[in-house]
Amino acid sequence: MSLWVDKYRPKSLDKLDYHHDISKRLKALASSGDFPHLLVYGPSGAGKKTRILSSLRELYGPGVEKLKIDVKTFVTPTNRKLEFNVISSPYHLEITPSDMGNNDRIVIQDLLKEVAQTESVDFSNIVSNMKPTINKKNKFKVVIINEAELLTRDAQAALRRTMEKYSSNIRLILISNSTSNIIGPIRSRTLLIRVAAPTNIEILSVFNKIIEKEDLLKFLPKDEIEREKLLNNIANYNDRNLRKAILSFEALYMNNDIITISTPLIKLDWEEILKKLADSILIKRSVANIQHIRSILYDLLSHCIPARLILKTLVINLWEFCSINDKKYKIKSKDEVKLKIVNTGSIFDERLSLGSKDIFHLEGFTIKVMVILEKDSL
Amino acid sequence: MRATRSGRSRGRKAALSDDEIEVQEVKPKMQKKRKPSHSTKSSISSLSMLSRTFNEGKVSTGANSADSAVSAISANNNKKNEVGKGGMGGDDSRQWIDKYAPLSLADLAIHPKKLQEVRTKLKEMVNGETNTRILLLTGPAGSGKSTVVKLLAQELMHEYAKNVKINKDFLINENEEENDDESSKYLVEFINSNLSESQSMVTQFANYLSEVSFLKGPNLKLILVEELPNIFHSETRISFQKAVNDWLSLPGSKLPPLVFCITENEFNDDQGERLYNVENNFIAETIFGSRILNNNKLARIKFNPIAKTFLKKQLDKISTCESASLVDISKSKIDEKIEKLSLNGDIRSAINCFEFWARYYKKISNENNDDVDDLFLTFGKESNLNLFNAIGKIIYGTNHRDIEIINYLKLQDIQNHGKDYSKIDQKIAKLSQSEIDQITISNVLASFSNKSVFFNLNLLENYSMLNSSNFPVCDELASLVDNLSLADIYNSKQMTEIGALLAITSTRYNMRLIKDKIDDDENLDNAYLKYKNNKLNFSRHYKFLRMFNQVKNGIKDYQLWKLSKLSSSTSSSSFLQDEDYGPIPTTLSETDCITIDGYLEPLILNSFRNQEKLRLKILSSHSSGVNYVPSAMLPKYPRVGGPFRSIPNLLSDKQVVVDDSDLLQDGNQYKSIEEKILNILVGDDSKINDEFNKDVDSSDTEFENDPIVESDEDTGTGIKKEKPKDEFLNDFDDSFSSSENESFLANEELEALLSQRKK
Repeated sequence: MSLWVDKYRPKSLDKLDYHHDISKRLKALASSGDFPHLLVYGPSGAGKKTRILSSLRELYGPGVEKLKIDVKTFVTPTNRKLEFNVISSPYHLEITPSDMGNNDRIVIQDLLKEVAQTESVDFSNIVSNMKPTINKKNKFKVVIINEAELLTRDAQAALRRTMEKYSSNIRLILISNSTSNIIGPIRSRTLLIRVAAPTNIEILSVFNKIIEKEDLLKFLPKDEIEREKLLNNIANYNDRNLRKAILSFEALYMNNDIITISTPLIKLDWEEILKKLADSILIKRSVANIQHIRSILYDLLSHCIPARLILKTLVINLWEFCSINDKKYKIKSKDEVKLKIVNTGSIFDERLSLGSKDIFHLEGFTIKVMVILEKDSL
Repeated sequence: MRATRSGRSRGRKAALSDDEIEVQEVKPKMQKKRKPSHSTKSSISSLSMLSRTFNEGKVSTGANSADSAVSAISANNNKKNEVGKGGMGGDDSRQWIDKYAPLSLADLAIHPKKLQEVRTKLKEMVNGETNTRILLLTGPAGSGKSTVVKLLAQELMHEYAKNVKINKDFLINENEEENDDESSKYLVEFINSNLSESQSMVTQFANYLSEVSFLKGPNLKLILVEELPNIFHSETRISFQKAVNDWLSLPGSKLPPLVFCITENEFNDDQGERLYNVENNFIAETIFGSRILNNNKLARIKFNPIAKTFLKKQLDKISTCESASLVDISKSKIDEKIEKLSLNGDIRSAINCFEFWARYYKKISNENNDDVDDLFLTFGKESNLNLFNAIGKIIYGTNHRDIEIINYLKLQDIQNHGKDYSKIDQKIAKLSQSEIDQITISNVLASFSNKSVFFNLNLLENYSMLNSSNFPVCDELASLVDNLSLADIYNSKQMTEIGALLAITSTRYNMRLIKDKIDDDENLDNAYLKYKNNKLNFSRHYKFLRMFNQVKNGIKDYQLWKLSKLSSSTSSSSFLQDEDYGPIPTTLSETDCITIDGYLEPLILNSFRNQEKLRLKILSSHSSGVNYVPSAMLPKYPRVGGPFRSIPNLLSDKQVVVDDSDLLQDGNQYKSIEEKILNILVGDDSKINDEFNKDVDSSDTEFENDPIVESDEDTGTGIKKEKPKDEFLNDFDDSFSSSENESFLANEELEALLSQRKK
């Protein structure tokens, strides 16, 4: 049994539900048999990976799905051994070098060098021709690099060299959430493809497809308008992240006999925590609460939730709460407060990327916000 | 500057004038040597915002130290002349530390109350009047731990031996009387190097303990362990801890009293990244682990550094005994010296210092130089700040101005701090609070500027303790944390000196402002009172790191599990080649794993619909024998990385966090759960029924163990593997963990089932 997200994942470019223009272009690229390095960016859950894998399938056929997982070991200059998972098919490799933290440069360099120096040889025709032919189509190997925005500067610089040096037999596809952390030289060496988050209507069309295939209508509201509203709510709540939306739709269905418009939506645990946190920052502006908040922050951080995501979510929550509930929090001039909060948030966001111990900066942000509110409260 | 110097030491003038040229040559060198303090100073002025208030105090003391540097040189020269004149002869070749070792309890330099405490405890243990089996004495070096034990052992065991003789008419082994050393009659010591070669290092201690456990009854001896096996080797440590634990839980009432004397030693070396473990913190918590320390059969008595009065008494006594060798030294000089040394707290080091001072004084004093006494104060123990002491000083301010200043001068120029003693008293009164603060900061910086990351984390953990009542936030607090945050950036750019300086200065400065605020505001009286009683906490950072790594491992395993699941489903469906939809094997990003899938997927997998499906599957695969599947049998998938503990909030731990067991989680939970399901599905009926009994077994101890159940190991792995994780979580959170609720549910269901079957 697999999840709906996986079960209904389109495998070919033709079956993609939205962004048809991108699909068309990718198809054109794939049919030409060659393509440049790509930088695919867009918010998470927009379908970047799906599009890339579909175009690889277009290019190489279903062989790309015959995957194996290898564990490669690398040795750092300090003689520490690193283990690193590489997923590979005969035609491509998929790596997530940001897993290695500061050692990502070594991984990038060594691995790509190794890949680039072994020319891929096609043995599929060996029986008929008795001679391995270097298929023109398979002249290069594709390397998919996940979470490219998390690569260190060092690694990105190394990547840039590799791109130039081995461009004849290696093609890189970088996947990233935004281009802002990617250095200029790489951006200029790649073809940028932006995959935007699907609109609500597009998400609804995906939902409807699933509903049809899974025969879910009997569990959903009979009234069409109500049903649409419910689905819209799900899509909205999940920030137009398709993956998240489908998963949470499935979770909703699996845990309820019948879904009505009043059925509470599935809320992510950490997001709820951050909402409560934002609320408590606005209400309880005391030292005791700071201690309390520190525990919560430590908890979130220890669950590997990126500090910058925490900060971003907090700022958004605070912004929303200030706009909607300014009476509750006794805010005098909400626009000014909002501006100051965003300003503080951006300062500490930078510090998070510069510093190493996230807790200092997150706590600094909370206190600053508390002080802003303290000064502005009625 | 020169004017002050010559004015100050008239007697030295002659000697100095000879060296006049040399002094000037050496001067630049000296400045080079003192560079650290200079660089600190310049970095202070670069951060002028914070330090403006302190600068004055700094400058004045700075002048002082430059002055004394000059006189230090002359002292150095004198020393050079002395070297090579040969050692010192004496009647008694023994060192004073042995010569004047206390022979009776009355001679001990420790506080009578502490002595009484140890005596009572030990007496109870010797006579078997208590269930305490281990006495643990901890404290700094030279606080008299082992001496107390040795002397008490003599006294108590003598009493005990008498009682045994009279009451039971037992004869004490004659041979023992002939033993060479008096103390060995009463006490055996664990000595590391004694082990025979056949013994493995790892089990050595356990073997030793099992050997000595027979030393009871008439042969009763006290077992003293001062030397530990090599606990830095993790296997040895685990075996050591196990041996101690076994000792504690050994059945039978009577065991010889076991005494551990541990000299605690905090962070020798910490780069801020490593775990809080035995390697950098040699203290009871890391050596034994919390499980042993919390055992009620272990009594722990902490020793403090020896108080000034006691230490002084001892030194005075020695000086009267040694009056023969001290004739050349004037009485006032000796008194002054004793006064200084008695601040030391370490009796061993104090006596040693005193001895060497006395010996060399005679020689050097021939040169008629006043500086001699200063020269040897460097033999004194260097002041090493304890972490919590330092944190307390920064957050609450110092309580002992004079000690602070003396330490400061000591640090500023090591060799000549004695000079200003008389002047200090007058100066202290004049110093403003901000100047004192500046001095405190310098002192703390001297010890911690290279451990900035670590220190700042602890500052962060503790600054809010100042007023944990409903004290509103204020600009000062914001600026404090703001600077800590900036300091972190410096730290991560390897500029830890600035990081430490910024963090410590800003914390002290802002804390003082806050305190003033509290003092001024009557409404906040309560807050002030409260902060006085607060204990300091150790930073949770290491706990966090451990947790973080565990979660990370969990995520990795989840990723792999997912990947293998996806690729297996593609390979199985590869017959239907050109499907348009279907799983594509690819890795999920870590963030998505934890923020989206890690929560939603278990929610889907554990949903009632899924459970129902699974139940039907099980029932259909076992057509006979099984007619009901309790939900406890259906495994639950945990949230990736474990549940959040935030909502029932945990307070910061009051105790030191200890890396006592290697709790590394086996993250393959998902895999093991899947295997379990497979087992249920594939396994034959009897196995399933066993599974039933097994559940009954684990939930209800009244059922007798079924041998078949025990042999059925592979199905049990799932359960077994989950256990450590739950324990770990409970460690964090006192509230009900989900597993408890589940087992509770399971019980109910089982009871219902049982009653059904009876009918």
